[in-house]
Amino acid sequence: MTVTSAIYAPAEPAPIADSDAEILAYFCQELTIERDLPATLNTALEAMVRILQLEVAEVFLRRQDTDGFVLKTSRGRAAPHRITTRHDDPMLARCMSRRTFVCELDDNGTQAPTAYAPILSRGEAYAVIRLTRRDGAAGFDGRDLALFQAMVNATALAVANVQLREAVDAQRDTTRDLEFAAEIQRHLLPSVTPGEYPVFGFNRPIRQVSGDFFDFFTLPDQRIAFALGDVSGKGMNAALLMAKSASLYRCLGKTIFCPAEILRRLNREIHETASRGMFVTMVAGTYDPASGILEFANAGHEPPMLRSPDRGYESFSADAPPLGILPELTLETQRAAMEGGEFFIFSDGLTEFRYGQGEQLGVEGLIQMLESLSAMPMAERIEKLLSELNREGWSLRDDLTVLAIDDAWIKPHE
Amino acid sequence: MTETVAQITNRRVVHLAGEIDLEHAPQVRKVLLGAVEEGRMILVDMAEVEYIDSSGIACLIEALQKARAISADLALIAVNPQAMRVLALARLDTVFAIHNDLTSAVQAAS
Repeated sequence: MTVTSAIYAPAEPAPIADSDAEILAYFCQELTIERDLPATLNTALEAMVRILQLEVAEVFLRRQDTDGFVLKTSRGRAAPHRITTRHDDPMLARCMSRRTFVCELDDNGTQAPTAYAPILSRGEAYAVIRLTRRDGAAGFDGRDLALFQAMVNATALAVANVQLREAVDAQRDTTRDLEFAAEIQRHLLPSVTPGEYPVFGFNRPIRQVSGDFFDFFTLPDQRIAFALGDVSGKGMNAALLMAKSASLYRCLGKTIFCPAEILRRLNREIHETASRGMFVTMVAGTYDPASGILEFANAGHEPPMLRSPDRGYESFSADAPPLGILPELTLETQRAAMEGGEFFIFSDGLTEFRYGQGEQLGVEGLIQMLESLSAMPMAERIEKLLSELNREGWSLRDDLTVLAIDDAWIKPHE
Repeated sequence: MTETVAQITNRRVVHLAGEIDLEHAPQVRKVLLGAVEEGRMILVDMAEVEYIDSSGIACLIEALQKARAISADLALIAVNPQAMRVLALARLDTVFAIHNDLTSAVQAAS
């Protein structure tokens, strides 16, 4: 038999008889029970083999590396010579590129021993189904091809449904992983009841996970070690570097009491493994509640502020770039006497808070807000400040973290 | 955010403009790293940068580190006051070579 190829385009759609409608209802019913893509395709092919009395029904995908096709799956009684790894049947390529049904017509131009149809997804051909009748059997007529078309369309919908469901499942897995990550992160931060300790911290991530962190703990000599860090960027990559930096600080901060030395050591560790230009701005220090003396070092972080009852606000600029950029940092420990004042360290998420027409809160705006609330105890004041920022029309653009030390703090039971 | 790259022999001038933030960082990163691969001297014109956040700065740092690794130079030029404030606050003015304009950057290199 000589074979010519032609695009199947019947002048009139073949009529669907009652029996055909029942067949299609059966076919669609079969597709609704499958849960994954291979099972859906196999079920569709098995049904096609039964309904259209095929020798074999096959699904082909385009190979990534060449113009050829790869056999994804098949059903029916495939003759051995059909099981090959190379599939360069030109009709497969024609069907996929034209995104339409094609078939090979016999000499009379009325029947086709082989038919091809694309599985379309969002207008693109995802795969090609090839149907083959047994040698010697009658070829596909117009009714067969109309049924084939209807079944392929139903298969495409089922495939799209499975893909959507898999995407939703994957999204759910990602969301659950993020929730776990966020919970682990929250446990990396110290938790104290506001007002129960002279140091108070707050963190609000802009996404589920945070690139900021803070920490504080009492040292053996009763001084309090404290730190606040801000990793560049947002999201999971910032969160991972945050977890590393916070863990390293908690470990080093219990054995090294010189703030500048802690930052130098942290810098070396982070520089060795940081990627994509990521860095960490950080303030680390110690506070002595007995003397009110603060010692701290600042690597590239927004200047912390000391509020004294009689001297107003004094800020302390960074004296070295952020951690992770240079192999070695040169920085010194700064010293300040709190004298009953308050010390605020904050991430730029606070000063870059946008309001109105997009103006930033800025340091001046922050000071104004702090002053308007100055009658409140410190932890309460920070919470009030953050709730004020939560008002309508104000937008957070970055993770927001505050750490405050109150030198006028008195133990609640004293 | 917009960016353009001008080519003069081994020199690449990358013009950044607008808000260089997390949303635009992937595009900025691609342009900067591409310029580092092609040129021996990369000048980043920041005159029209309205805002740069830590994601944008990380792109500049990655490009600088990559340039240094292959003995190329990367410098910032015409940094406007807003961007300069961010760089100075983080003491990144000690990390990047910063020049007033193209001419002074080229003179400094020679």
